[in-house]
Amino acid sequence: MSDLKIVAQDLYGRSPIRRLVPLWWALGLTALFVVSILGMNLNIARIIEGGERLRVMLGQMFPPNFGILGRIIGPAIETLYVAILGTFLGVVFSIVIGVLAAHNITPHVTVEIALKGFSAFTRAVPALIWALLFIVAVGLGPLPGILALAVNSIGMLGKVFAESIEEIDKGQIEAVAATGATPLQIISKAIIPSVTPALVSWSLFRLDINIRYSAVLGVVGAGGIGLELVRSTRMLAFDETLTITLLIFVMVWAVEYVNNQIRAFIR
Amino acid sequence: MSVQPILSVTELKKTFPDGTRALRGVSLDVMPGEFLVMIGSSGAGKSTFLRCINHLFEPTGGRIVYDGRDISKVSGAKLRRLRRELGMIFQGYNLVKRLSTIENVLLGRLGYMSSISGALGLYTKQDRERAVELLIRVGLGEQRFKRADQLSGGQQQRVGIARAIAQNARLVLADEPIASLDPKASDTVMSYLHEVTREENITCIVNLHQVDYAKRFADRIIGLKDGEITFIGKPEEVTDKVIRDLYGEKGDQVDE
Repeated sequence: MSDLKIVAQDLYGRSPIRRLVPLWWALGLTALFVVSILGMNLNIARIIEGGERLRVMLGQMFPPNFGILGRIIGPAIETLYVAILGTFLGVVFSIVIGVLAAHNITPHVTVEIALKGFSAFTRAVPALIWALLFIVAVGLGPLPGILALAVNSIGMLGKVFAESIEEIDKGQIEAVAATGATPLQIISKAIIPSVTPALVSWSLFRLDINIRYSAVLGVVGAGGIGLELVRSTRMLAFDETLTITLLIFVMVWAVEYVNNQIRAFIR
Repeated sequence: MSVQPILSVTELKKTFPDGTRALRGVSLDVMPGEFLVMIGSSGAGKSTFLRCINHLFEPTGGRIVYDGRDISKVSGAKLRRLRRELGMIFQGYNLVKRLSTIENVLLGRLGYMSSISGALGLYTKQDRERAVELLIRVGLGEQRFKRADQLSGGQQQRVGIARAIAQNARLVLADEPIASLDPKASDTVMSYLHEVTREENITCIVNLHQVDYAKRFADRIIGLKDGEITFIGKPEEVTDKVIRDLYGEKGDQVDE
């Protein structure tokens, strides 16, 4: 029974090197971790020292200073406005880009390639960098924040809108075209109704992201509550830092909650 | 003086980019008011024939004359003006699923509106009245504000019929309208299609592969095989031999 012998040799089915693949991964990742730490000159003493400072800071955070709420509510609302306007502008431009870039209805392939390239670029450059660029262009304040969020949103929404349109059942477009409808009518009567759920749901998701970004953009001077956050840490007023952080949390949570309600409603 | 055909097709050819010769020279005259049924197995070219007439496919050869006008090559605004007179009914109904039933019927009016007012859905009161009337006629008056995707297949196809009629179409092209329906719904849809087009004096070309339905409703039957017409005649002239020739020896499409 020579067959049995073969089975006995073949219990593992792979060479020893392939069999130990998880080990190689573990070793590789550990090496990467160690190299990164060494490269940054981190040492244990500094980490412990940092822990001590963190403890002091946390101590000073409590109780949070709610007395500043009246002062920071204005910037908080500005943050909200920046996010909403940025998202709104982004959505409007993304719909146009999505329609022109969707493979099944694009006026020409070159338009498709150019617009998909453009949104890939605006997506690749982070919102923070866009904010810095727009601050140079239009000065400090909420305007560069709005523009940065709008441009960065186009990167994501232009892509997903185009993809949603590409997924539409071609028959609906064909049927409306067969009635003698113009391209504009086809877009508004066959394409937009079909992609509405995707459109709404992605736009709300983006609003969610933009609220978070908007809070951070203030750090580089693009308006809103981020500025207050940085100011409080510079002044070592950690009780105010905690209040501001909590307020940002409430804002983000509230927007997320409302979004989920709307998304459940639109099907 | 004899009546002019509403549609006159001469040597129509269509070869797809992959080399498939779907139509190899089809010639056919369709008389005004006729209810014509085209039969043939899948891939015979029935669907391609209809789609060449309203230019959903571009024919690669031959001549199409509609109502005395050469429409072999039309595009842009001219094509849109042609299409609004040619209603089309699809196998997959092709309603805009997220629009209401009445909105779907109103789509038939787009070709008569300016681009902007159509895109904004500013249909006239008369258009809306006509849409409701058509929905009542196909037995869906009560369902007019229901979303299209909540209707059954047979109901969706009846909306498809109403949409085509709403175009004030003079010629309706029905591409396998009952292929996805059960026998009962098929019966209803075919009856409505026949009845409404008779009442409005609309010429109708229907692709079917159910021979029994063809015999029941057609004024004239066309047999298409491998992109060529192999039979033209009255329903009673469709013999078993004709069917065997069209569908092959098995005759598996014959339910009778």
